Amino acid sequence: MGLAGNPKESVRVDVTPEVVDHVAQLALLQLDEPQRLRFTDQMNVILSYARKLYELDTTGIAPTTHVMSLDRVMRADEVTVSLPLTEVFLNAPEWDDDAFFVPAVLE
Amino acid sequence: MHVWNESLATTVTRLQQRALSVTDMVTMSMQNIKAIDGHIRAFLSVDEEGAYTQARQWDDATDIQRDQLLFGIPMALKDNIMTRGMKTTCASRMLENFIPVYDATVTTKLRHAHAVLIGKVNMDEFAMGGSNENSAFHPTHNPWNTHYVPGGSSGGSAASVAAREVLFALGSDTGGSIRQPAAYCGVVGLKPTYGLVSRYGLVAFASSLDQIGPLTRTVDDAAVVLQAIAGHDRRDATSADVPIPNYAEALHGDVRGLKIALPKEYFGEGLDPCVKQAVLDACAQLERLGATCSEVSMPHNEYAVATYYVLASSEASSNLARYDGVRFGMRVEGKSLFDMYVHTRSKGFGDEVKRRIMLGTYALSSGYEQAFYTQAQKVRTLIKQDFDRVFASHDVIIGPTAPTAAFALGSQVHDPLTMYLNDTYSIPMSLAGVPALSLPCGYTPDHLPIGMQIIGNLFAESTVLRVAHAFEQATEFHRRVPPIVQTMLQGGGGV
Repeated sequence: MGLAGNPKESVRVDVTPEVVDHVAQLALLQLDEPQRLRFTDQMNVILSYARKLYELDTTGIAPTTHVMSLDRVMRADEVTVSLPLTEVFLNAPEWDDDAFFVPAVLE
Repeated sequence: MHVWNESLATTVTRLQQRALSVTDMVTMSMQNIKAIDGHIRAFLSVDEEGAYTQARQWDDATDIQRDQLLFGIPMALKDNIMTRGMKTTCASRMLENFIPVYDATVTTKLRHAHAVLIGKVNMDEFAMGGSNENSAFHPTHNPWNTHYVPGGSSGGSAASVAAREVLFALGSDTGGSIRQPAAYCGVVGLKPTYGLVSRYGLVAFASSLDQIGPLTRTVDDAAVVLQAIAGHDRRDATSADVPIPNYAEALHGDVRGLKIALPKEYFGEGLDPCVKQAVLDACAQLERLGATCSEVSMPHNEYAVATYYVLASSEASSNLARYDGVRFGMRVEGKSLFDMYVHTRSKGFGDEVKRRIMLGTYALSSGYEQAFYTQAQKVRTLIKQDFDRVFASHDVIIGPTAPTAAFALGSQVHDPLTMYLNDTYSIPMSLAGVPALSLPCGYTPDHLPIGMQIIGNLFAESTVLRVAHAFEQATEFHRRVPPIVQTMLQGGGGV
């Protein structure tokens, strides 16, 4: 997947089951077969609708990321009290003393 | 006198003067929940013991401040708002057993205002949906007709207020999730200006759009609750540092000379004729009160739904990456770390959440980002400019909240695009960040409530509340009670 040249001409929405597999892999999701086929259909319908955005000429229009102007979001670097680890671990699936446990990363 | 027919402010005064006890209030709330929640299923958890303990403590204390804004008032919070020591599930299997170790800023503020937390209410999973059918636990039913949806995603909040289970609730709104359920359930729902209310402790869906707001029976009550939750918070970097006016005082003005804009795009194809008529009648009512209405055009309105589903899904795909089974929430074991991530996310998320993560991941993936995400951000600018243009010469905009009244449970569940298009009238305000309030303005022939939206410029909540209040004072729509609730109240519920 990928686009070449003028994006306006190349926004073709053709979501195949293979594209769905690729996106699912990126999103760390495993889909069963009925789900995979359903999502293929639904993503085609929804993304074809989203192609509507290309009816508009947006040359020279700045993108909006946030409606408020955020001039300065840095705060003073003051040390404040953190949550106690014993409380934080109450929601952890697996932990010991001062660490979360996960399956081995290296074989 | 019946507290369910009085304003929050009046009830607070009676509580402060000890004409009513906080325990009385909790008892009333619990009685109504027991009588009605089996039919509507608004609550995911009820903290009966905690509420009574709190009530007794305040009733017995002689040394506490009783002059707090919401002293002794029973409330419900949407289950994506963090409550220390009390489950916050987002109606997802992923967070089924998640117990926050801190409060959201709004929760802290409401505790300081001495409201009593009764419980947490249902929603579409992670606030994605418009019907409450995406809750992983059970759907909520509309109190006006239990075969119909309450709307969403704050459907539990709207239903619990409409059913008189609590005196107010908080919801969250990303593309209409406070206003649309308010319309479907015949209550008042206010989405404040983006940044007016802190998002700290609100489980993130789409961070550039999410905003917390009140669901109440009347506009007066919305003003009181907004007063309690608005204000700058250093823990939310997008929180606005602006002076907070006295919203209750703003209600007293009239609407003479007020300029109302009616965008022709809000009254076109796809709008149910009886919704259209009710909103136009409401505008005529406001004209009789001295306002003037004029037609305007907001030409980019038709692109709002496409813009929203690209941007909100993209932000969601990023925000929901944190659910990986490592630090909190569900974990499903796997042979490797990677397998654990995949198994956890595949089992923990429901279909709609997966669909949005997939859409967002697609829109942000290599080669498509410019095509979808950046283009949608640019169209968002055009949509915002439509609002700027109209507000240069008008005080408020009025339109329907949703194209129809509530729909039957199960009727749209297999058709995501149709479901998304229900948000046509509520999404543009979220993209522009402006405040919008939905209030009842009529009923369908099937006795389902119809909502209209009053939309103001950034931080013009006072104007929005004043217009809504003037309309409410001149009409009787907000006085109607769902039949099932009427039966319950006549059966002895309440004081």
